[in-house]
Parts: sequence; C-alpha cells; structure tokens
Amino acid sequence: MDSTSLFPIVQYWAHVQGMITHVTLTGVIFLGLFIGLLAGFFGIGGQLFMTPLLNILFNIPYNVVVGSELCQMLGHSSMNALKYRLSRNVDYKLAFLLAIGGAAGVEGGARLLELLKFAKAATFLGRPLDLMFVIISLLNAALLLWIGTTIYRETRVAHRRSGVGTIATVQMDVTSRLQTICIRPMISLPVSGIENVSLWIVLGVGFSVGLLVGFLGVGGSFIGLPALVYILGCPMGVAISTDLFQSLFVTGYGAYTHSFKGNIDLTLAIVLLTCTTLGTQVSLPLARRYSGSKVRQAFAFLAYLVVLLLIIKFCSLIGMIRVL
Amino acid sequence: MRFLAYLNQLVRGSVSIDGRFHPHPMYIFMNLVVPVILGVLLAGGIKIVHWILAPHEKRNN
Repeated sequence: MDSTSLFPIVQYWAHVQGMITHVTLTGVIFLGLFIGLLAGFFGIGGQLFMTPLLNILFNIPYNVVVGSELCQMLGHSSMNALKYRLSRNVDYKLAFLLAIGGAAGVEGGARLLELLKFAKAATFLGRPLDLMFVIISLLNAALLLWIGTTIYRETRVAHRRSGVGTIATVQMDVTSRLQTICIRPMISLPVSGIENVSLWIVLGVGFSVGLLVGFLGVGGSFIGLPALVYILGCPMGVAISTDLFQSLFVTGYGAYTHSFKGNIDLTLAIVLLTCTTLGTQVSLPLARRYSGSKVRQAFAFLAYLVVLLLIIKFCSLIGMIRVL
Repeated sequence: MRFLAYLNQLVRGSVSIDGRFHPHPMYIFMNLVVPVILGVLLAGGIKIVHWILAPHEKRNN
C-alpha cells in the first residue's frame, strides 16, 4: 500500500493547492515520538514545534496541520481529564465563560485560515508564494522567537539574582490593574478567589487563546495557563484544572468546525496522538533528573533552530538557495 | 463502504474542487469520536503501566 494514501486529507489538499507532499508513516511516527520527548522533557512546547515541523519536513499544507493538531489535542484533553480527575479544583463558572470565549476564538481562527486557504498566491521576487504558508510561517516564527527569547532571558535573570520576586511582582501589577478595569457587567469568581472582574476580560482571555488554537494549532495551555494566573489572578491549582477542563470543550469545538472545513486528517491525528503520548511518558523520568537553566536554554536553542529551518524553507521557495 | 470509497476518491483527487470541501457525515463523526476514545484508552493504559511499575508497598497503600 502506498504510504501517502494513508493520509487522504493531506493528499486531497496537496492536490488542490498544487503541492507535493513527502509524508510517510515512519516519518510521522518519528516526529511524533520526538515531539513527545520534547514535551515531556521541557513541560511545554510540543505543539509549538509540531506545527512548523510538519510543514517543513513533510510539506503538509498548514490547514491540515492545524486541523489535525486540534483533533489530536481533543484526544490529549480527554486523556488529561481522566488522568488528573479534574472535578476537584475546577472553577466551573470560569471554565464555562472561557469555553464560550474560546469557542468564538477557535471559530474566528478557523475562518481566517479558510480565507487564507483559498487566497490567491502572492508573488515574491518573481516566484508565486502560497499566502497561507507565508503568514502562518511568519506568525509561528514570531511566536517561537518570543517564547525562546523570554525563556532565555528568564534563565539569565534567574542566574544573576536567584529570580525570586520578579514574576510575582509582574503578576500582582498586571492582575491589580486589570481588576480595576470596570466594564460592566462585573462578575465574581468565588472558587478562584476573584471578587470583582469584568466579564469582557474573562471572555477576552478565552477568545485570544481560542484564536491562537484555531488559527495556529498551538496548544492553548502555554498561553491559557499563564493568562489565568497572571492576568486573572487564579491560584495555580484552580488554574490548571480549569484550563484542562475548558480545553476539552474548546478543542472539541475546534475539531468540529475544522471537520466541516475538511482540515482534519484522522490518520495523522491518531499517529501523532499515540506517538506524542508514548514519547512524553518515556521522557518524564528524564525530566525529573535533568532540570534547571541548562534545560531551559536548550528549549530556547531549539526554538531558534526551528525558526532557522523556516527561514531556510522560505529562501528555498523563492529560489535563493537550493536545499529542500 | 461508502465512506471508504469517499476516502479513496479524495486520495485520487477525483472529488470535485469547486472552492468548498464537502464533508461526509461519517468523516465528521469519526473526527470527534476516535480521538476521544483513543485518549481514554491511552489514559487507561498509562494508569495500568504506572500501577505495574509502582513499588509493591506503594501499590498496596
């Protein structure tokens, strides 16, 4: 059996967009295991690396990458819901509001992607370039550079003066400023210990995270969790459970809307879900043994490396170099 | 069988391309149900493996 026919949706969109994909089952298995190892070792970043790497290595159209990743994230969310027995610490009121904002954001992201999918190719240096590839690659590169630089800087600061107090100060400052914004209706979230906060801020947080999930296919937790802690001022325990609980609905809605748009390749999602889970389980004992600034610096280095690969692919597409 | 034929058509590129994707109902259903079931199975598998690998005293407690 031809390996590429295992991925019918990848084939379909590659055919529509006039692309040639190099996707193989073995390649996807290895990438899934690698991303799982990274996610288990660093704690974050699995999806962040997966979106660009699936496009760079196998030339899978970004709309299929994003849709399939959302489908895979739905599997991860249901797995986490069982693993961590969420009912203990969940702020259901907050989770409900975040899920509404998140679903709207995911829908917005999926529609933006739909616009790019059918947009005409842009011309750059006389060569036709897929607009979806250019915009999503740029956004991914910006996100990776930002996160890589933030983590690298934090490591340096922590190295210089043990880092105590910096994050806590920022959190108190941002939280107190946002909680003084009085755009009615105001709500209270007793389970999270938040007395007074604008409904629009909570919905806005959900919407922003959902937009990233629906448009770039990156995991919502690496932005959603800090947003709950630093912007809304949730205690960490409640924030983790609430974020995991609401992500079940947001990714579920994302998988639903991307299904209608034909962006999900189920084989790709199944292989990625299984392999990333296995990879994460293997690397968890290693992560307990090796932690600290060196590991965070390695994460920053990997983020820069993926950005470099994106630049190389872009240059090869416009004919500046002959690599890919 | 119809669903498999539909997937086969997608692979061959013989589905009409009129600027819009026409999803099969089974395609939408499977995209939502399969990852949830697989996630539940993987979570169960991980729990069983952890239980087997846990030290004997801890397991009895």
